Amino acid sequence: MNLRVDDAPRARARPGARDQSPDTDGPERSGGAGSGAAPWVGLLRLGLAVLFAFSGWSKLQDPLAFAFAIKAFKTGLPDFAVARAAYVVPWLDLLCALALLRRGWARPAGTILAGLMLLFGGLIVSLLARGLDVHCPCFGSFALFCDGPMGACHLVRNGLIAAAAFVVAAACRPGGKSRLPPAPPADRR
Amino acid sequence: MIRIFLILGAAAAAGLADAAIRSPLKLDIDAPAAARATEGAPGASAAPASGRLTLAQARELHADPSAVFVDASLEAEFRSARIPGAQSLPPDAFSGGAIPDVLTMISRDATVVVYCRSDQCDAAVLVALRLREFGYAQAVVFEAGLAGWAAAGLPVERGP
Repeated sequence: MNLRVDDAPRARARPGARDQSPDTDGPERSGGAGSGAAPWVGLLRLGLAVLFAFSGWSKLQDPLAFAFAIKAFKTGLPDFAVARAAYVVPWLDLLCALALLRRGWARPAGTILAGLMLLFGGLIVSLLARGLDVHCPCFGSFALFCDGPMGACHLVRNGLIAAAAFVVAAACRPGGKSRLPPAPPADRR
Repeated sequence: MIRIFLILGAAAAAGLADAAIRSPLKLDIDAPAAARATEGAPGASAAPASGRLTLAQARELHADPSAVFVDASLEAEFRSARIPGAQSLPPDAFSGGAIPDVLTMISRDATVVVYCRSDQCDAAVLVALRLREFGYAQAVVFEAGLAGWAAAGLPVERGP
């Protein structure tokens, strides 16, 4: 007898059901986003985790270079704040990378990273509008597809990473179920 | 939502703790301490008393054979135009803790004048700070950069 119950319809029927279980690692129990239901989401999470772990690690190797990259955006932040941001942002990358590996934490991590990418995207647009040349050691000495001063290539790259982070955030719901169409109901006969 | 704030809070705590443990980041160049120490030595009259040079001070140092000019722009930019006699030393040359080759040709006692394209780029300050880390206590920044130099009608070297 097959005792497995597809609880997705039930969850959908309960208004606010997904907001009531934020602290459960449901997906790990029931196989949610990134597990059997959507292996590509799992791969996306893993890819983003590796990318941001590397990004955070490489920035922490040379915080001075990253601080100057932040400074070059000419946002008006005082040096005191820039010097601290040069440490906090890489740690945020690292912690988000770690969180992406835990299904219950992938949604908040994806949301933060998408927001971070949008923020940097906005800053790149402002750089281009002001005609400033900034070289970002975003991945240390590794260029990751885009070389030279920040420009359209970096904007597209950021957009793609933001989109991937959004997909992860959207797919990894706290209730443990993917937003992807549910699997066909099991034959209970 | 709670987890978003937990991650943000943990990152802030870890980052600030890391910043407190390591030596604080200096993002500006101060007066070279060695300028006072070498007072009376040959070339010391031209040693700058501030970390940032004016055009007149840069011009004076350019005439001093003991001073070295370093261009912190990208290699391609350096090849297109530079202050005559300048050496190329972009910030990337220090990546991974590497010691740039050009440093083998520069004495640690020399006054090193670092500049970049204009007063809008911070690469010169970054390179000067790196040079200080490597023991070049008299590394200073020519803030106006190549743009200020050229605008004053001073000679510019072009080509590879």
